[in-house]
Amino acid sequence: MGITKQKLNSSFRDPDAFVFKDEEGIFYRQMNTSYQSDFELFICSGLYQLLSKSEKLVSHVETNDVVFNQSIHYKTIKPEQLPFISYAYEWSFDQFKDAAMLTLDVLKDALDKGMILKDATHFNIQFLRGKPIFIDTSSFEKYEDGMPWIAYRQFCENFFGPLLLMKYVDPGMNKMLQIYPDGIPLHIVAKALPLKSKLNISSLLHVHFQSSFKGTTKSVKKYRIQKNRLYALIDNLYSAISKMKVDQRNSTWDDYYTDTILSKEYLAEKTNIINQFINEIEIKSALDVGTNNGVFAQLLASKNIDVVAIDFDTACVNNLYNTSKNNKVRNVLPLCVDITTPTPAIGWNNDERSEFVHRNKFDLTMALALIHHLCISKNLPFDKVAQLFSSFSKTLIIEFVPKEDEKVQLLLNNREDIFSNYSQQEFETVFSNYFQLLKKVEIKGTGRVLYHFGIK
Amino acid sequence: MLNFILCYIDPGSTGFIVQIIIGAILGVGFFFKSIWWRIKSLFTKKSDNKH
Repeated sequence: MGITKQKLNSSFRDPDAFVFKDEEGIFYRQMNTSYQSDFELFICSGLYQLLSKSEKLVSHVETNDVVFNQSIHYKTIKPEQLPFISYAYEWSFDQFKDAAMLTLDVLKDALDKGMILKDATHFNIQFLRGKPIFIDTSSFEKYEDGMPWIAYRQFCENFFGPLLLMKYVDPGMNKMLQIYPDGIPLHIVAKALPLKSKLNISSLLHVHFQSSFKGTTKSVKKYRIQKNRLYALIDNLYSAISKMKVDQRNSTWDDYYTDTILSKEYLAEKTNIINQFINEIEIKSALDVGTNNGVFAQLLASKNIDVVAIDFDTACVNNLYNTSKNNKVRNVLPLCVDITTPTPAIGWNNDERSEFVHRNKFDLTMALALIHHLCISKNLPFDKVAQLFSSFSKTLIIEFVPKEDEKVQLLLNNREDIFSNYSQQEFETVFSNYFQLLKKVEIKGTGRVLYHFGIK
Repeated sequence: MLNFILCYIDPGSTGFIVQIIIGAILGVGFFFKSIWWRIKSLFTKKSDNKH
């Protein structure tokens, strides 16, 4: 046939279905013959219609002429394509919470239609149009009366446990899922949680009580649970999660723009210049590195650009997620990623879940008021920064903050100035090795300069 | 020897037993909650019909 199709490295565990992409990078899911009866029920019961209409599950069209493995082929579906892929260890608290609630929502809908979720991994959720969406169309199986939810413990280790750690210990605790991608073992969650978590009936039962049970080699298949008790279990998890809140007032950047003397005029001027820059080129997607409160990510979003906005500060990311959600801005995906140590590739062969820097491609990278943090706080040479940014996209908007700037002086307050190379001239020389200068404009009265670069 | 045995223990197996126990505990509260929902929905429907 001459068409090279590639099976996804993350899609090999389920014998019923797998995801592959064609040479144009379009993703498909092949359903195998072993999944035929469940898939028929999934469609005939109206569950697919219900979930896709309410945007809880990614919608699809059948494309049975695209086949990856003929011998086991039943159907091929082409799901709505996702602009960006993100992982649970990059989400902020409220993103994580919404993803957990969506999983339970999908499970409840499935039970209502006589089906059940056969797994509950966080990898089944992605973000699309500002909301979590379930992406594994082959996760549904027929519910037999009295059958327990096979993925109950998995849900606790993938969602409920990590959420409790984020609430009680630190909002960044979901990063532990990088080490435990199959879910944080409940005995670890239970040990890390404070004593007061035992006062909460849901965390007491689903985590502390459950973790005290050791596994068994004996068959447990004979066990039965009444459907209304299963609903009770799901309802309890759902209401416990929906009530969860984290206190994130002490963000690093919370008052960055309100505190600084640069504030209003600086922001207005910066907005004008960036508007000029982006009006000159056609951009569909952008990466905003060090997004802070996301003002400029939202500026790009308002121009119909799909934006991934990253910051190491979980509170900033959480605020941006909530403000985007409240303002119905659907094309900003905020993620907790520290650009100085981005998400690594994990899983089998270190190849199952991709690293942040090579996962998504963008038309534009934006790094505003960031260079001094990278070069002075983290001792990164200009060359390293230019090299990384040149790998993300064809164009770059970057703000240079001179050494005399009050924020740079603040960084140098308590440390020796070993940064003789940190100058505007050196910055321009090094960046010109990777980029060609399209435009540069000084932000009036600040000494800061905005650069618009194109890749060489 | 102990480690060898542990390799064959499926930690998910406890999920079955535990959810039966937890389901039974939570089932009682859920029973009353469901009744409350039904009563509430009766009134909501009634007030909806008025409009």
